Amino acid sequence: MGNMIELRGVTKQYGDVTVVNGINLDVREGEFLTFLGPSGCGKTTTLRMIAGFEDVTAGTVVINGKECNNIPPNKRDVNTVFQNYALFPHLSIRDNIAFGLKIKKLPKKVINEKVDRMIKLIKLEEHMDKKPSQLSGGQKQRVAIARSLVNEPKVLLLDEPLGALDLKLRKEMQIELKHLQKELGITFIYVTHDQEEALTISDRIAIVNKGNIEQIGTAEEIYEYPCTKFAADFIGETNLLKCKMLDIVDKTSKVEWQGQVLEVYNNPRKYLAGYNVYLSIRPENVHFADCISDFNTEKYNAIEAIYDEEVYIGNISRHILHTSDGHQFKISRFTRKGEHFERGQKIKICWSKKRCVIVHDEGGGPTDEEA
Amino acid sequence: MKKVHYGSFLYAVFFLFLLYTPIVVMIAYSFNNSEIDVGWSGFTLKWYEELLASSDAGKAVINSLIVSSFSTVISVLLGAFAAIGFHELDFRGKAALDSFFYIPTIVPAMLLGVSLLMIFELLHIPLSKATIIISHVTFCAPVTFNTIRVALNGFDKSIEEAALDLGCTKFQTIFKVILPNIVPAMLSGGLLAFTFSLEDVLTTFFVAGPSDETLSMYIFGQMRTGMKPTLNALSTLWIAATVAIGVLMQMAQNKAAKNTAN
Amino acid sequence: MRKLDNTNAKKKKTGFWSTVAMTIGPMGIWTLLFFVFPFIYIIIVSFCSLDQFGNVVYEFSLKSYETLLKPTYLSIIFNTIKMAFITTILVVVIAYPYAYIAARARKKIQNLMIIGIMIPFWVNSLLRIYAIMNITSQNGIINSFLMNLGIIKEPLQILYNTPAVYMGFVYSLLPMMIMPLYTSLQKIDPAVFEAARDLGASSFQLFTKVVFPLSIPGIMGGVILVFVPAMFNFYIADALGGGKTMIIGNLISNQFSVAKNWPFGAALAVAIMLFSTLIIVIKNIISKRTEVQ
Repeated sequence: MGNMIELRGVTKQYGDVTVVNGINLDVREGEFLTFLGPSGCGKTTTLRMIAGFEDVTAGTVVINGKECNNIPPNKRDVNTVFQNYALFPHLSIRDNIAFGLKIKKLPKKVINEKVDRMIKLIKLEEHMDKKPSQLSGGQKQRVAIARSLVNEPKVLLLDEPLGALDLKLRKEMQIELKHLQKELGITFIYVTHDQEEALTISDRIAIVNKGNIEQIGTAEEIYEYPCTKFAADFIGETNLLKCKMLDIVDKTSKVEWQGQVLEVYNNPRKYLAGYNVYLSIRPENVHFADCISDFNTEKYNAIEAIYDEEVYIGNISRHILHTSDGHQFKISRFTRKGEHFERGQKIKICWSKKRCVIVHDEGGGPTDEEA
Repeated sequence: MKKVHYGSFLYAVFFLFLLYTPIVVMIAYSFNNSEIDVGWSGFTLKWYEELLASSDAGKAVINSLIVSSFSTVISVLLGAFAAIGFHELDFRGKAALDSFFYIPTIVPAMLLGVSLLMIFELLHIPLSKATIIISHVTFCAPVTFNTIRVALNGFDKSIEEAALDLGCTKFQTIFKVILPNIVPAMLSGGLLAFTFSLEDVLTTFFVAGPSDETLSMYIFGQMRTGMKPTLNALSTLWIAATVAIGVLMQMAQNKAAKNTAN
Repeated sequence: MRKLDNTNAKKKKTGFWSTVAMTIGPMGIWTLLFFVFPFIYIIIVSFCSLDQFGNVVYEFSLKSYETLLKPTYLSIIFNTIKMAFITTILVVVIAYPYAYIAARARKKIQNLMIIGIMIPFWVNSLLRIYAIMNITSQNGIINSFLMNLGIIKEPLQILYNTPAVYMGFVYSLLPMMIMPLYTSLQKIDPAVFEAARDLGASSFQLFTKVVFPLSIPGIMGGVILVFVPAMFNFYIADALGGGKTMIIGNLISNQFSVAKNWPFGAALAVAIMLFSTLIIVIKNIISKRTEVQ
């Protein structure tokens, strides 16, 4: 499959402020790609540059093999679903959906057929003559999606489309959207700040931070093998230890933390010796050394930590500790009856050398060497 | 939820009683058979007949309708275009221009009339219906401008982007999306302009030609010469018309509110 | 690449100006021609004089302003301001309780009370004045009612004096004060009343320390809508004062319709315009201050 969208060094500046900083990205045909990042990270601006609402300060936007920098939004083969729906308040649901086709001056018969099919698809047959103000939030969102999809765009851009819905409805709509996308085979580019939503819905996720894409990959890739501190921290929870890179022997990377050598087996990226890096360990991969029958330093990294407290959340317990350099360290594990630790107690904790990743801080790009 | 004191209740009722009595009495007297206003001497429609037969009153009504209709249409057009321009464009001094456009409605109507009279005479423009219309538009256009601008302020910018996204040109967006959505505001702004124009005495007094007496001017002239039962009839008709306009206006506003409640 | 950007920017610029010309242009030109230009002209004329044929002589002269300072005219100006001031105070005193009751009433009653005020407001102000004349005239309903009761033998002369002019002003300008007052009073959180009570305020203190200060922006809004018209509305003074009460509105109107003394009329207009501006500036200062607090 070819690339539907290619961004090459796309940059957006407002005066002296750089909102998007030279993004490079390929979006494959038929893919569901999500821009995930905190608010103000530039993800919406990037989307709006693809749609054509914002001019590109530098770089090129290529849609379906065609450079689009100077093409206005009404001439681009993409359609947008807006955060607040942006339905036309003066038109009925039917006319809202038919709007784009009427602008293209398609024959009436064709318009009617397409609109009917679309209304059926979003299951709003009974409401098609109502005005947008008479619909619920979820219904409005479906209309907004239908209004875009009926034009059979090459790419559908969705700007936090579920942000205004309540949690339950949002979960339902996520699944509905995913099905719709698979059924129609249209490329979706989706913007959200909700990591859970991104994990549920996407084929690939692009983690955006401060105008840069920090990592692109499947949900699993990013969760298991984050490559930056930000990516590791933004998706799921993690413990980060500030380390110095030592060297790599065979497949084992060695780092130094608080005078202690920690090892990582098969790190996806190789870093040069002497650089500042972080070791990321997910809370569910950390164990109490005493509780593991086959504990040995060959297989596990072990450090000492001081116990603070336990937070009980049903079948999972979260244990909060802190390390000798004062940083918080979290462990989550199945709740076991009778397990109890004292505040201030020194405990040896450990994790498998296969279940931790070395990552770099933002701007740490040049310090590494591709694996 | 709150205690209603009898005292405040009485005050409010008495207040409204004073406010309405003159108007109600006037309406009642328009159907009173007696020429002098003492007591009730039977129902009649003769004052209405006399009023309708009066050519002066008829002319005044026609003059007023012409003047106010033209003033309203021009004001709505000027106001709508300017409001759309303000909505679409961003430039330095926009806020200042916005408040500047509103000044003609704050300036005392009489001063507007006097200064326009002087300009018309300076430029040798004879006073006519046209000069009245020009004067009325000067203080009515800011009203329509403001009404439409307020409506557009609440209009979500992304709705226009959606139209562009769905293939509209900028021009089509204005006609297919913005205009239909400001129709209620244009209506209510227009009705407001119409009533302002219809009511005006203080400006019209100076800029009206001798044969272009508007309804307000006619009433003013009649009032100066004392009480006339035909004036009661005219008042009653006027009140009926303005109440009808007011109700229409409320309906237009409600519709606008409903549309923007989206 | 750079060149391309440049032409693009240029295209945008021309598009911008043609849009301005099409949209804001007409309104701007209209305002310039029929508002700015006349006001500049009136200021110019106020510094001119008349020749013996009554034509305006376009030479700098302070004659009109000197005339304005003559005791006869000064007393009219002073009297106008005094009347506008008294009218404003009367309107505030009468409107306040009504606005307060409306703002504190249940939602349904609130709407009723406000619609009750607005309906007469829709009626032409001339007709409202005529309606008052109707019932207060020599053989109007008030006089005949009182005579029938035997309270008076001769009809009272209610019209054609200064109190009648006050009555007319108050009657026609009341809604202008009630609306802004009601809006500002209604904005006060009901919890504030309870908090003041809770902290030991008496009803009187509640009013003077809490309610009144919070309603000052509303009063100020109303003052502009009452004070300025009260200086100009010559037909109320004319119709109800019977020509005996002269306000500056009548004086200016006479200069243009009867006396044909444009420079003097213009000078009066400029003077009163400055005074109105001063009132608005004072109002803005007071509103700003109270808002900051």
